[in-house]
This record gives sequence, structure tokens and C-alpha cells, in this order.
Amino acid sequence: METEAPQSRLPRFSKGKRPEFFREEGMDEAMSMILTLASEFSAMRDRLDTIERIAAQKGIILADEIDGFVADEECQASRAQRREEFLQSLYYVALKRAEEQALGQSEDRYLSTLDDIAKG
Amino acid sequence: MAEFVSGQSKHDMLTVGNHDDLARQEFAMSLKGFTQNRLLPGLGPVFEGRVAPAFEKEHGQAPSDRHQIRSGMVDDPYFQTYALTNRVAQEMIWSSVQAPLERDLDAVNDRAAQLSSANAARLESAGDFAVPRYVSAIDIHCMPGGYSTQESEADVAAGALYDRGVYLYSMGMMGPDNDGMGRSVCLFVQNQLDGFQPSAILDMGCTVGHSTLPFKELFPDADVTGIDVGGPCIRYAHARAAAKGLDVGFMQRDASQTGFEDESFDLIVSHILLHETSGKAMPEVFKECYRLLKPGGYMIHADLPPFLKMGAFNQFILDNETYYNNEPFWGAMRDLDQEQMAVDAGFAKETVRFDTAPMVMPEDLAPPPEEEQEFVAGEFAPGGGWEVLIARKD
Repeated sequence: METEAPQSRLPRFSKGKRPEFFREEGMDEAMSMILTLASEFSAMRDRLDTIERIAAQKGIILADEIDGFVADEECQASRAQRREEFLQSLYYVALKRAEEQALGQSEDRYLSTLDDIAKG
Repeated sequence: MAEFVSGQSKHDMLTVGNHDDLARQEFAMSLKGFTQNRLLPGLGPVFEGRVAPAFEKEHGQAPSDRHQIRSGMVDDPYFQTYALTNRVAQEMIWSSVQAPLERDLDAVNDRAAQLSSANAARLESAGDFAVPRYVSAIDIHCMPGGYSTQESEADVAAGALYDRGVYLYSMGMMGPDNDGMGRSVCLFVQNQLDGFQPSAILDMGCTVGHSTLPFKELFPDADVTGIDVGGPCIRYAHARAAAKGLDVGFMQRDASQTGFEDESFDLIVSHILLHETSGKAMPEVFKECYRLLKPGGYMIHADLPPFLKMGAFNQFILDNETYYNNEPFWGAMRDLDQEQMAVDAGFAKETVRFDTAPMVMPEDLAPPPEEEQEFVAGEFAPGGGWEVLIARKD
């Protein structure tokens, strides 16, 4: 499905050069992304807390129910599967590196392929 | 009964958004608080323990001023983590408020126009207003678009962004109405100026009027006007005052050349304005204050203390705002001789002084500041109060 970059009427960035903090290239970006994820994680925890509190107002003590919940076999399998998929995305680059090692995909081989294709 | 959202009083102009917008805003506020309260205190030991010794080893002398301290600290990984986290928290403050504002923009602008019509005091914002370069060149404290960017003459977005954003920035320390600083100055006027009763009050650089409104509350019979160079802020301020049931005027004017007649006011105040002006504009602001004051009137500028009132390390901490938070004049301003500047503007030397306006706490507790309390960078109102530069026109 084709998507478009979100259009905004308000300026997204402040005018003025953003200072650099870490000397390692890419570290500032990585830290900003990690903290953005932390923000989303925190928002999700707050949302879960809201759900529990609303349920409690309606007489359902979700926190107790959740702590007392026993996952059946189907539930356990489905969660295990979801965790597996999540870890696969999380370790995308590491897994890619491992595959390259296994298949002998090196930078030299990549560049020689460029030459081969240019000529062939 | 007043309703609150993360401690901030709700009013008809306040934009917060939905559950998750609020959660992101509160995360940004927590991150900011964590950076100030937990990460910042670690900088002292890092400086003493490894940065200063390394500097001394390399240069044969200990770092002696804030610039030398900075040159050593910027390469330290702990400082880098601190400074980056503070910056990201700042960016998150604005983005978390901007997202719901963006969704609700037309309704917010409409609501402002509607509310403004209920404020009997004047509103003036001119489309051809020339915004000074010191405000337009860099978006101060990293607020995207700054104070003055506008889509139309009805746009109040910058004001809405600022109203909520500054509450998050100050971590609620300015009270539910973000007016702690204005309240502090009001109480200072009430308690320290021998029964002085102003009848025409001007608040310079008022943005959305956080510090302006307390003056109307404390001096209900006075004519209170706020001026600012940001059109969207002025319009928002006028609507916000109406939402709070106060007739306070707001005008888009430049504090260094206001266009008001001589001797129009008997009290002129500003709250954290001066460091957002420039080396050329600041003396002009003082001269303009002198021109606008009636004889016997006071000017009171509240800000953080000048650098001479603190040690080099605290200067360095404070000066991080200059480098990491888009505050171009923050550091330079604190090196100036402000008392002499007031004298040069016409005020008699014996009427000019620095003083402390005790901080009004969110709970309305105002602990008296201890004598000569040391400035500690990172505290919200350092030394238990706001530094005020005060001068009287004879």
C-alpha cells in the first residue's frame, strides 16, 4: 500500500543548528530513537494502567485478574511466537551479519559483482 | 472547582490532546525532571574527578572560567549523555504538544477568536509587524517555529504550544497557571515597595500572559497591558485572559520601541525577557522603560542571576542553555553590567539594585530566602527566589 509522508502545517523542527553530543557518528540519532521508544513504552504502560483503573471503577479488578491469569496452551504458544518475531526484528542487523558470514557475502564480493554486472 | 491536567489548570484555550498525547507529554516532563534532578548532580563529581585533572595535565593549570570548563566537559561521555538527554527531553516537550495541536488547529484558532471577543481590553496584532532578528534568527528554546511564525492573522498555534510546553518545561514549578514568576514579582511590589500602588502596568515580552495576569488579580483597578513581538502569542494571551475571566490588554509591540507615549505607565515589568533580547536591544529596552515611566514609577526585570553572583562551574551549567537550547543571548547577557546599563538609560544610581523576589511555590508557600544563599544551577528558582533588577524613575 502506498503511503505519504505526513503533511504538517506547523514547523516540525526548530530553526538553528542542532548541536552534536557524542563523537561517534550516529550515536546522537540512536539515542534520540531509543528515548522516543522509551516515550512510547511509557505511554503504553500508562494506557495499560488506565485500562486497569477504568475496569476497577466498573468492579473488575483487572490487576488482580491479570496477576491471577493462567495462560492456556494456545495462549502460551501464540505469545512465544510473537516474542520470537519481535526478537527477530530487534536483532535484524545481527542476523543479517550472521547470514552474510554463512553465505560468504563480503564487501569484496559485492564490489566485484558490481564490476561483473557493469561489464557483463 | 478548577480542573487540572498533570497539575496544570485547565482552561478553554489549553490544548493537551488524548490519553496517549498526555502520556507522552508527561514522559517528556519526567525525562526533563530526571535529567535535572538525577543526571545533573553527577556533573560536579565528573568535573572534579576526571575532567579538571585531565585539563590540568594538558594545560598545566586548572580550568579557570566557564569556557575552559566547557572545553573539557564536552568530550566527557557522562556530560554528553546528560546534555543529549536534556536536549531530547526539550524536543519531546514540543513534539508531544504539537501533535494534538496540529490535529485541532482550526478549532483552536476559532476558539481563540470567540473567547477574545469576551475580553474588554484591547488586542492588537499587526500583520506587517517587523519581528526582531534576535527572535526570528533561531527558534528560542528549540520551540519549532518560535514565537512569531504564523499561518494567518488568526493563528494562535505558537501560543498554544508555548502554554502547555512551558508548563512541562518548568515541571509544574511555576504553579498550575505557570504564573509563579509573575506572582513572585507581584508580591515583591506589594511587600517591598512601601505601599506603591500602580495604576498602569506594562508587562514586556509577555508571550501568552502567564506572568501578566497576576498583576490584574493583585491590582484589579489597574490598567494592565502585555506586549510581545510574537503575534500568535499575543492573540492566544488575549483569549486565555478571557478564558480566565480577566480583562487584560495584549499588543504586538517591540519592548525596545513600543510606540506608547512618554510617561504612560507607573510599573513596567518583565519576566525572563532580557536574556531573549540582544546586546543592542537590551539597553534600548532600559531606555524605553525610562521614557515610558511616570516619575516615581518602577521598572522590574526578573531573570536568573548575572554570572558574577555564582562560581565558574555553575556558570558553565547555566550556560549550557546557550549552546544546547537555542538561547543565543543567554550567556552573553549574564556578563553585562545591568545596573550600569540602567544608569545609562537615565535611572539615578541610588534607585538601581538587584534584589530577590521570593519564589511563590505551587502550594503558595513562599519560604523566605536565606541571606546570601548560594546559587545552585539546575534549581528552578535558584536560591529560593527570582533575581530582580529594580530601578525607580525620580
